[in-house]
Amino acid sequence: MRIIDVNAVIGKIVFPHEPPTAEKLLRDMDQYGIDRSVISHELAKMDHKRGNAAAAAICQNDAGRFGLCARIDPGLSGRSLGESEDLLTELERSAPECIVIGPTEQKVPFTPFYWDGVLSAADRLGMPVLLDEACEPPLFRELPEIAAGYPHAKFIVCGAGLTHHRVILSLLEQTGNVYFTTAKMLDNRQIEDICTRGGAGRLLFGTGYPDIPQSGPLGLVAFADIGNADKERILSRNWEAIGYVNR
Amino acid sequence: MSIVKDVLGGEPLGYRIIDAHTHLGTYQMYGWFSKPEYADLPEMLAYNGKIGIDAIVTAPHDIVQGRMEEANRACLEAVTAFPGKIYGYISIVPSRGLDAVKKEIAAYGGQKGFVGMKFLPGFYHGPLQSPGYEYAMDAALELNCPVLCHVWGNGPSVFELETALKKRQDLKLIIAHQGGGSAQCTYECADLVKSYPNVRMELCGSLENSLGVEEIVDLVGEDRVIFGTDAVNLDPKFELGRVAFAPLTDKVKEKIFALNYLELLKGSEMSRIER
Repeated sequence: MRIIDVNAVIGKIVFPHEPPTAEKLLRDMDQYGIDRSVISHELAKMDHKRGNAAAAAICQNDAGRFGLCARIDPGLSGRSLGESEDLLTELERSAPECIVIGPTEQKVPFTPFYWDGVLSAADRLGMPVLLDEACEPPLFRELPEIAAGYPHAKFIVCGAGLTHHRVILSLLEQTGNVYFTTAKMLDNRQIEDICTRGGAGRLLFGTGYPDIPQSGPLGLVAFADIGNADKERILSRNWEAIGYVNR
Repeated sequence: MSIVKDVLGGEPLGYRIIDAHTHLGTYQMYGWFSKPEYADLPEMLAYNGKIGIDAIVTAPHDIVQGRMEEANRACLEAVTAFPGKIYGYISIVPSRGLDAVKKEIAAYGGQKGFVGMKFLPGFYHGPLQSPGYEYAMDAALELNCPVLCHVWGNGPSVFELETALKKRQDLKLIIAHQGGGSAQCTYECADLVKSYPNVRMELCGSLENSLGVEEIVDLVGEDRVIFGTDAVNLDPKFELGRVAFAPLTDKVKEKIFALNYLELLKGSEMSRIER
């Protein structure tokens, strides 16, 4: 069974560890049998173009073990990636597997008014959009309207899980393009309950490395009382179906 | 092939697993939510069987809201109905009054199936140095039984824990939640675990702890780490994965999963778990 981690970050400082390099991530992936990781670079939070270029270089070097997640700033648009202001052009040129955005960190309310430039490009390309910030209620309040307004984009909420089950169930039932990573699904039998309700196709294995070791998130899926088909979907197939370069 | 791929291929883990930190009863507070039927005891035990957990040691959720007597009664029902699968902690709630605490310890200290005591100090039930907890710790020392002590963030503080241990150097104190739920807290509690002969570090609630279990073993020693999951409050599979998939030998995993806890129960005058 292939395992793809859809949310890993190179270069992020998490006490007490050194910021992981690509080599360190590869060692950890091999330790746990993770075949691929979709990576962004922590530098991209500070300097989007340099950070995204650093992540792209890592992806080019490493024999299919890494895929690119580009961080996009609504203020920079295409210049988050390259020379052109036009985000659609730059996304088509650099072809990341997904993009990641940080409305809370960038203090930009997550509404179509502010994010249309980014989200319409993602919608046009059918691109996954990772939301990797703390999962607070404002995100969940805004997400239904956002998801409905950009139906071809895939919104991947990273790190939702414990204490979010009610919200997750509603979003899965009432939207078609909101997905969730499983790393923090610690409400009791949360993954099983979602799968029982037909939601396995909207779950993705994404650890948020290096915030926590990959072992716990792997345990949540590997030991889950669900069929192998659902495990495979969560661990790789769902991403293979929606990741941009795979389309 | 990694252990992960073995498990995905259907291979059982093959370790004996005692979950030393669990709760009974449904829990829908503070955002937590799961189907109430998942907390039904037969259902819960059947699920544990599927994922490889052989026995649990538990304190019902009533303790959270201070219902000490109800917690202990519920625990008695559970350990009686499911011997060998469910073992109990005497829930200690100081706010019920010292006399009530004494009564509970007298009632359950010799009860079959009860193996130790559970404290919820910090924001739940006040400082560790309150009369009820002080009495209970003295009783635990006399009974030579373990005390599983909730620790989250800085509550109770390392100072409170050390104050308790300085008075009772041989107290079998299990510091829950890896010392408080973060790497910083684990580091702060590690010295206590190393310095006192019967102090242990339990693992559950590690969702925000960047340390792997192998790093915690490096910090405090392979004989001092105890497996727990905080089920049914939390899904047990997260902590199960953290130990099962950690880069540790089988021997160390066996210790963490069961043998360290069984060793701690040696010599206890309360009930014990069969080796």
